[in-house]
Amino acid sequence: MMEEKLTYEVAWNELTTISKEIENETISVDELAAKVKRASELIAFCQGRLKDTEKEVGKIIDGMENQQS
Amino acid sequence: MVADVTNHTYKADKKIHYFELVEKGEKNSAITAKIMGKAWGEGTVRLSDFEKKTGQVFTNNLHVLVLLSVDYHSLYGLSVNVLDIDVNFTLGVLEQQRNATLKRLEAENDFIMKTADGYSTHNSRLKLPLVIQRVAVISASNSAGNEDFRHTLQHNDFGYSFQIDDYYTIVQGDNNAKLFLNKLIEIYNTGIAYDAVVIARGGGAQSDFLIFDNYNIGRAVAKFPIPVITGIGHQKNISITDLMAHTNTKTPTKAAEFIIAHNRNFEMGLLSLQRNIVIKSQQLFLSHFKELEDLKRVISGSARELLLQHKEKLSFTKQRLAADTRGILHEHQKKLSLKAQLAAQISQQLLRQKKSDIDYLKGNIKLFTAGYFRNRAVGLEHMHKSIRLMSPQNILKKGYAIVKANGKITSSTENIKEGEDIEVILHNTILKSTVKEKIQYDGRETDL
Repeated sequence: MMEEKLTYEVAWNELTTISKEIENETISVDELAAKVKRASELIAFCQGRLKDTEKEVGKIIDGMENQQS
Repeated sequence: MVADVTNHTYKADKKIHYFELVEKGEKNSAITAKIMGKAWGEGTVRLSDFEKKTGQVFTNNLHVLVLLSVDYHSLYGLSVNVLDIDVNFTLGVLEQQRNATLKRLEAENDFIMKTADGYSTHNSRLKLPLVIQRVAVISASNSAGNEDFRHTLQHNDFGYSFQIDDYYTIVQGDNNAKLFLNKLIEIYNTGIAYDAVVIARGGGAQSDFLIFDNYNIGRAVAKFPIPVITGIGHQKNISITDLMAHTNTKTPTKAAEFIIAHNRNFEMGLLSLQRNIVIKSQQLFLSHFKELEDLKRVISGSARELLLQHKEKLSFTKQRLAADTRGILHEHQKKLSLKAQLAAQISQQLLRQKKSDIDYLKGNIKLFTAGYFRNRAVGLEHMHKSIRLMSPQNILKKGYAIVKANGKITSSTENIKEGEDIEVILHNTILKSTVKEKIQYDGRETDL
């Protein structure tokens, strides 16, 4: 359900915006549920992206360390 | 005696040196004096001592200070025996030669410059490649130095592999400089992109390193386009070749170790970069995860708090609303009951008032009716009296008369003409009369 073009950077920026809005209470109760839902989606996306990247980097690093001997 | 050595031969089996000592003219090097000489026994021991200390083989063209005994043989004639040789004299001479060579190198070649801690040459200014793998080695064939170098390089602890090309030549004796030079040129002419050229010569016997103080070799090394690493094992001071080279080390083994260390350095840099990448990327991940976690916490916390606030506000408003409503109702109730009370009071009062008014009126009516009737009775009585007083009988009794003309009672004289008959009615008499005269008067007579 995430947009195809969503990047970590974009997701992160949107997340911080939502966080600030909620923190500063500039958000209306009408939007709150939708925004929190969006935030949770974005967090899931970011975590997924991070984990995938970490796994990939881990693989690359393993490969790097294997090349040594 | 101070002299130059010529025609030198050495009988190794008998350990006897044969030579001639000559003196040359200062200007044209022409021989001005000559005598046969030999060294044996103690003299030979002193000469080999000399060779060890100077690094200089006792041979032709050597300028020496020697202590001699003079011999005369009936068959061989006059000769001298070497008893001792002055090491320091030769060292001084060698040092002078070396300094002169260095000065000449510096003076005649613009790619050689003296610096505070040695010499800067075209070769020393070359940059070693990051990794040294293809090496040309100049050494004596099957020499210990070459073996040491090759062995150290190939059996390194890090599994580095090298391609080592050998260029054999003779690495001693000033007169072999030409061969040495040719080897350098040969290396250059192969066109192989060597990473470095190594000059390897083992320690071993301390004899004749003078080839490395040779002007032409020094110059060629200084100018050589591939970095030259020297591993020349010698105890005396550093050679000119060492000074002109890119890097000098004390032995072939050390030269190999230098190359390994150089490569190791590169690998360490590489490993450190790799480690940095690993660590930094892990740190980056960690910090991103943490940031995300924080943000998650903040968002859920803030959202919950926001909801709570709204809930509180709402419940507060609800409470206040209820309280307010109740208050308003209460107020209205109070007002209403007050009003009701007041209304009841007022109406009662009003009733009382009205009642008392009625009572009053009732009293009044009673009172006034009686008065009224009395008054009416009096009025009536009075009226009755007046009417009685005004009756014609009474009036007539008082002296008044009624005039009748033409059968009718009249108060006006208008229709009464002179001569006309009229009746004048008095109290108990009627006077039939005729009008003699009509006289107008103002009535005053009656006021009398």
